[in-house]
Amino acid sequence: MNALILAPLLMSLAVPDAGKLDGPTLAADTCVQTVTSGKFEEAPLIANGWKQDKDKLKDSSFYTNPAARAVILVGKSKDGKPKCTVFVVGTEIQLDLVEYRLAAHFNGRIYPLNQVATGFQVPGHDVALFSTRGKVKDEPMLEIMAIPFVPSAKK
Amino acid sequence: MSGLRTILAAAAGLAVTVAPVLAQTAPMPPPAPVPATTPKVGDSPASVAELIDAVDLCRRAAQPRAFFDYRLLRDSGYGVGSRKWEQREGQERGEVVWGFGKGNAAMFVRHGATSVNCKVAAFVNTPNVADTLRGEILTRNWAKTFEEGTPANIQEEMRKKNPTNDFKRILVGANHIYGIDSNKTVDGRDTISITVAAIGAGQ
Repeated sequence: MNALILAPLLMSLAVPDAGKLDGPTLAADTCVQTVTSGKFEEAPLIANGWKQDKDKLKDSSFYTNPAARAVILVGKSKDGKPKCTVFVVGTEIQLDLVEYRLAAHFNGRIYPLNQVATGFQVPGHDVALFSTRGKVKDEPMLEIMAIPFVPSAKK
Repeated sequence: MSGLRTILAAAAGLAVTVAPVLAQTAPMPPPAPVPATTPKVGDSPASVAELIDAVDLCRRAAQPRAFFDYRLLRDSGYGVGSRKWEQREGQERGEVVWGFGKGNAAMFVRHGATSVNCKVAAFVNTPNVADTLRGEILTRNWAKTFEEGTPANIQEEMRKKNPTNDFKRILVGANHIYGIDSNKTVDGRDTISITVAAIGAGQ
């Protein structure tokens, strides 16, 4: 170990607040609720203050919530399952913090898949959650996608 | 796995289309600047008590079957400082290495698909801190010495494979293996690292 290893930590650390859910985590939790039955349910979005945006994509709808600092897109995957995706823009360390909060909030197993993608087990729900790093207009962005998923042992 | 790839590819493609809507959303505020006089995490030497607390957290959080209790870390006040992907040489698989910190202790969680370990790292100025930590871990019955905790045939095999290794620095517990390493930075500061690797078939 050398000082270089410690160097990233000498920057300001991002400390999650255990007391309440932050916007992106609450958005991801809401997304889980919208697809947990295997069908898309809008009620959790409305209950958490999300409103459908006028902008639409083919077969997909955006939901916005000024308090959440995130955007939600709901649609269907290629195999017809509902999917709900949260988009968050921020600095790399802010996105690190979002993923840390997701891991702590759902607190199931996590599956590091590759350089940009991580899978999260969602205990208590037949849902898989994937977070993927990307860019939008050169800004770091995190996509958090919830899709129904029944582990093979339960099928 | 191909289904997963499809999902990831589809998600990546969406990034372009969501830009206009995302533009309406307030970006996350920039992190507050740290005043120059504020002590920084990991900057000063850690005490033995601080190190033992961090090792205890590591051993409680790192569990068999690659489960790591990030909630425990969060609720103990650890902040995140870095995230890095490390590809295994010649393999598609790799591990994500998270850097966390609190007080003067840094914690690096290496999380793979099948295993997880947690390393506490810090600057130290306590004499013989590696021996002190070894004694603390043994006293608390978190682990046994390598000789006491490892079957004789495995000990023999490991000594053959690693004849120069100092097995005194390895401790073996029921669910974890501990490795203690002292080192110096290029500028001469003493450092310590304690790696806690989860073992076993799981709960």
